[in-house]
Amino acid sequence: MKSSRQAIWIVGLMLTMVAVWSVFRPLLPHSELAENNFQANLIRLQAWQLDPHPATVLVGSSITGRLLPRYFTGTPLGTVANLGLDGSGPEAGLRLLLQSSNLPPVVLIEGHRLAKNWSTNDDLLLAAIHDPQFTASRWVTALRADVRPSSILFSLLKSHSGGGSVADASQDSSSHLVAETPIPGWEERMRLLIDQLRQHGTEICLYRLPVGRENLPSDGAPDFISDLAWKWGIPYLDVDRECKRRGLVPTYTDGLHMTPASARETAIVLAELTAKLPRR
Amino acid sequence: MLFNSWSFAVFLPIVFGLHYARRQPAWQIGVLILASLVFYAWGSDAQGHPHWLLLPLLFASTALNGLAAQLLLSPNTSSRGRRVILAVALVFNLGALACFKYAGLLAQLLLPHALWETWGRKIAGIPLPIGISFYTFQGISLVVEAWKADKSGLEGLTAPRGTSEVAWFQARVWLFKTFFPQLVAGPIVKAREFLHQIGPKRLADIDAGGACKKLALGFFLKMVVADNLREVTSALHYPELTLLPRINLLALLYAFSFQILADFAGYSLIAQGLAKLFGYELPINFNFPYLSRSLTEFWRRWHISLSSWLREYLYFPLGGNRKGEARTYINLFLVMFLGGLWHGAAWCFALWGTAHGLGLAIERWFGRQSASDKRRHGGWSALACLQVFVVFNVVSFLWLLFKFPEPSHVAAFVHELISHPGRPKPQPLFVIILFSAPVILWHLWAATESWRQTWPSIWKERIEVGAAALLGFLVVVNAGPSGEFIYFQF
Repeated sequence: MKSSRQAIWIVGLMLTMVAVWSVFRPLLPHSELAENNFQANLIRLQAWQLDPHPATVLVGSSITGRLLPRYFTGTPLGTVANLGLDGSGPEAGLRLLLQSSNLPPVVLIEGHRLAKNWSTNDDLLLAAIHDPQFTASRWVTALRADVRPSSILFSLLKSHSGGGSVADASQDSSSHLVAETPIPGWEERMRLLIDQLRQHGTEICLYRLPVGRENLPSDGAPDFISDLAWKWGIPYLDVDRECKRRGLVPTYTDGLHMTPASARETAIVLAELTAKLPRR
Repeated sequence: MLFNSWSFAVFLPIVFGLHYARRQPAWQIGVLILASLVFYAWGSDAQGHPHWLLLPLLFASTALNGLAAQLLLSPNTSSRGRRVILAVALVFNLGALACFKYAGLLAQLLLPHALWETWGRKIAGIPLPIGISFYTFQGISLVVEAWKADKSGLEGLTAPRGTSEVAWFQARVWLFKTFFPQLVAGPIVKAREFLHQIGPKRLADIDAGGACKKLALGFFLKMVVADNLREVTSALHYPELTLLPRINLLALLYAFSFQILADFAGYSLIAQGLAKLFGYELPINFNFPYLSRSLTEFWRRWHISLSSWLREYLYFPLGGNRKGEARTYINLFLVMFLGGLWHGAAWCFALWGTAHGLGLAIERWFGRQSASDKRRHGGWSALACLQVFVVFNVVSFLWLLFKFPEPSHVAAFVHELISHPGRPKPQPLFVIILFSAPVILWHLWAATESWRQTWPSIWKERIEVGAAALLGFLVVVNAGPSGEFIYFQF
C-alpha cells in the first residue's frame, strides 16, 4: 500500500470510528462515574451545561457527588443537576455557575466543604468549560465524558462490585485526610459568590448531609453550617438530622461518602425538605 | 505552543499549506523559520511571563552559533582564529546554560549565606527559558562539527555558485536551530543529521503514512497514557504519600515509570511525525527502553539523542575508554553526573545521574555489558526476562529522584513502602493497570518482532493501519486532562 493511501485509510477509519461512537451513543452504557476526579466532574458539568437546563442545581464536594441526578426522579425536585465536584468544594461549583448565561432558579449548596481551599483541580475545571472540546461535545457526542471507554469500563466494574468508592479515591481521600488549613477570607469569598447568585434572582439554600465523620478537618464546629446560613440570611436544611429522625441509618463506602443505597434515600429526603421551603 | 493544544491544531494546517504553496527552498525555509519562531513565542509560562520575551536569547544563540560555524568553515580563517572562535562559541553556549539554568544552584553553592539570602534567591527565581537545554546542545553540535570539518565543509552547508553565501548559509543554520517539531524538547539533532536534508520539498514525496502512524502513536502515548496516569501519580507527593498503602505506592512507582516514558517518547514521536510532514527525518529517541537487560543497554534505548550527544561531544573528547581503566570509570561518572545535571539544576538530578553512573560502572566491572550485548539478539529466555524485570525495577526506583525534589522525600517513600501494609485502594490501581497496559503491550509488540517477521507483509500493513486508526480514535474520545510535557522543564 502506498504511504499516502495508508494515511487516507488511517484518517478515514479514525473518523468513521468517531462517527459510529457518536451515532450509537444512545445505545452505549453511559457512565455516571469515572476513574479520576477530572473526568467524573466533566460528566457532571456536561450534564448540567449540555443537557436541558434543570431547575435545581446541587453544588458541593464529592459528598454531594454521590446524590446522582437519577435518584431525584419522581421526587418533588424532578430533574436536578449535580455539581458535587470530586476533589473540589462548593466554591468551584459556584464560580462555574456564575460563568453560565443560564442560571438556575434554585441552587442548593453543601455546607461541609465551604472552607476548602482553591486547588489546581478547580483551575482545570474552570478551564475545561472554555475548552473547544467541551463546546464541540454538544454536537460531536463521542466527545462527551460519559461515553469515554475507560469511564464506561470503570462504571461497569463499579456497578458489579456494588458501588464502592466513587471517583475521589486518588486525590480527595488524601486531601480530606491530610488536615487542610483554610486560607483566611474564605467566608467573605463565599458570601460574595452567594450574593452574586441572589442578585440574579436565584434562590439559595445551605444543607448538611450525613457524613461518616462528625467533623471534617475544614468544618470547624459541628453546627457551623447552620451558623453560616443564619449569618448569610439563607435557609438551612439539616438533611442529616432529618435522616436520623426518619430512622435512616446511612452507610458509607470509605467512612465519608455514602453508599448508593444511602445516597438514594438521602436524595429523597433532601428533595422533600427543599419542597417544603417557602418560595419567594 | 503545546502540540496537544487547540492553537497548535490551527497552526499546523496553516504552516503546512504555506510550506507547500511554493517549491522554492528559500520560501519553504523562510516559512518554517517564521513558523518556528511563532511556535516558540506563543503563550506564556505558569507565572504569566509571555514566551516572546525569550526570543532574544534564541536569536542570540542562533546568530552566534551560525556566525561561529560560518567562520570555522571559511577557508580564510587561520587555525589560531579557528581555535579562538571555537572557544568563544563554547563559552557562550555553556555560559548561557550556566546563567539561565544553573545560576541559582551555583549561587547557592558559592555565595555566603547573607548574600544568598539577599541576591541568591532572586537569581534562583529567574525562569528557565523553554528549550534552552535542547537548542544549546544543537548549537554546540553545529560549532563542533564545523570545527571538525575539513575545507570541503559540512554536507548541506555549501552554498551553490551564484547565491548569496551568507544568507544561504544562515537560513539553513536558523532552520536547523529553530525547526519547531524539535525546538522545545528534542530529539537533540546533530548538525550532520539534519543539514543535508534541507532542500526543495514536494507534497508528493511526503511519507504521509509513516507520519500518521508516528503522530497517532505519539499523541496516544501523551494524551491517553501519560495524561491519564498523571492524574494518579500526582498522589506521589510528600506528605500525602505517607497515607498510601504499600501496594499502591509500588503501583504508583511503576505508573510514574510508564508515565515518564509515554510522555517523552510520545513527544519525540509527535516531533518525528511532524518533521515527516515537512519532508524531514528526525532521529529515533526511544527504542523500547524497558526491554533493556542492563543499564548500559537502557542508555542505548532511552533518550538516545541525548546519550549519543553526551557520548560524542563529552565522553569521547574526555578520552572515553582509551586511557585506561581508572580514567574510563572517571569519564563514565563525569558524563552521567553532568547528564543528570542537564535535566535540572538540583542535586536530586545530579544524584540520579550519578546513581546511573554507578550502575554502569558496576556492570562494567563485572563484565555484564559485553555479556548483555552478546545475548541481546539471542531471543527471550527466563534469565533474559528476569534481567529485564531487575533493570526495570532499578530504573523505576531511580525515577524517585526525578519525581521528588528532596532526597528526604525519597527516603519517606521507601520507608512507607517497607512499613505501611494497609488496605489497597482499588481505584488508583484500576487507572494504573488500564493506562500502563498500552506501554507494556507496545514493548511486547517490539519483543515479538522476530516472530512477526514470518507474517505476510500485507497483514502487518493492515494491522499497523488499523492500530493507528484505533489509537487516533482513543486520542479523540479518551484523552486525559491536558498537561505540559514533563521534559519541558528541562
